[in-house]
Amino acid sequence: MKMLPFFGPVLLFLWSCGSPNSNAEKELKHLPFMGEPMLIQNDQGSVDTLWPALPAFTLASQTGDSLTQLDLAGKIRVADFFFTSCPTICPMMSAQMLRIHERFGSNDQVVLISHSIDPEHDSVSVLADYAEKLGASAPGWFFLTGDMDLIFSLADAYGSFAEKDPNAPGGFAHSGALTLADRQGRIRGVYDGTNPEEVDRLILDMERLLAEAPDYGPEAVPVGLDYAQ
Amino acid sequence: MILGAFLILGFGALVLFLPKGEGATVKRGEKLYMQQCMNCHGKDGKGLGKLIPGLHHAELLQKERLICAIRYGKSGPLEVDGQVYNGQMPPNFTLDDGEIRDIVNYVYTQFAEAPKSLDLPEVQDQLRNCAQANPRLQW
Repeated sequence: MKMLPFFGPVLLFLWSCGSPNSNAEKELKHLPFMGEPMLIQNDQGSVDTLWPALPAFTLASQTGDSLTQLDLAGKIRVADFFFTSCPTICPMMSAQMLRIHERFGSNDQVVLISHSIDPEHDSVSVLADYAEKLGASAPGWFFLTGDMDLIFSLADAYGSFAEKDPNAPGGFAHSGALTLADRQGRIRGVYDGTNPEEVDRLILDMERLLAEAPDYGPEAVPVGLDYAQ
Repeated sequence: MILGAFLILGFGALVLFLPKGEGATVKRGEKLYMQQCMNCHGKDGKGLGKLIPGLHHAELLQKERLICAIRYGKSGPLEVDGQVYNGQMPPNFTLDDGEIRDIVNYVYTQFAEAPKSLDLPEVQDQLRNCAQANPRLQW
């Protein structure tokens, strides 16, 4: 019995040596897919499980060029919805997005997209000025403006929320969500962008997605927007 | 024994030098800062890039600027240490004079190089002077 304290650490050491793969797998545990699967009957008579991908879009960025979903293909993205004159939670969201940008800015597999929900005021030049003063630069971080109804619909598709509200400070009500989507445009997590601890978790989840095989999981299918242009 | 005596003396000296009630105003100020100021200026008071100034700049902490800005907001360009900020700080008329004193004292305790504490009459004097010094209240 007296020998036990000496054996304990040795046994633990052997245990950890014996199964290196299971530890690595634990580290790389996959993130869930958010949303509802689409079950489609195929020609062979069996059912394929497909997953909705984020919708197509064309918006102007702070660089003066337009950005579409094709520019994001094969990359993981973090999206938020904000406006430059927002007097409430936006500075906190921008501060947290800046943390992510500082961490992944030089990684061409990662793109941050901040959609203005006040596109009438937030022109390309206003967004360029905001990005420069914040310390954000393309192609790691795009600030987007364009058709307001399209942007509101995108907010909904990203699991966020934005609408005009004359009673809200600054004239818009919106969520502080940061949405994480994978290389195929499937949503894999939604985080509170005003909470630094949630953003710590988001950063870890981004590392997981970067390590994941691009073809992992059910095939992605872009879905349309419930929006009439 | 000797160490104990030193500790007691040291603690006694600390209590003597702390103005009465300072701890309470700073504590209330901390809560108000987190509700009213943290969103923009950050928990650590560092601001946001070149968009929102940090609160460690001595010139922003001059009482006439700080007190008036909390109540009446700030618009138009603001130059701090050579950097021009163009954002808008919204006015806040829901805070009473005592609450403004509490926020000011928390800011001074946390971010000023030489922490200090203001009492209510000092803050109220300054609040009266905001309108006098600048009728358009563009702080």
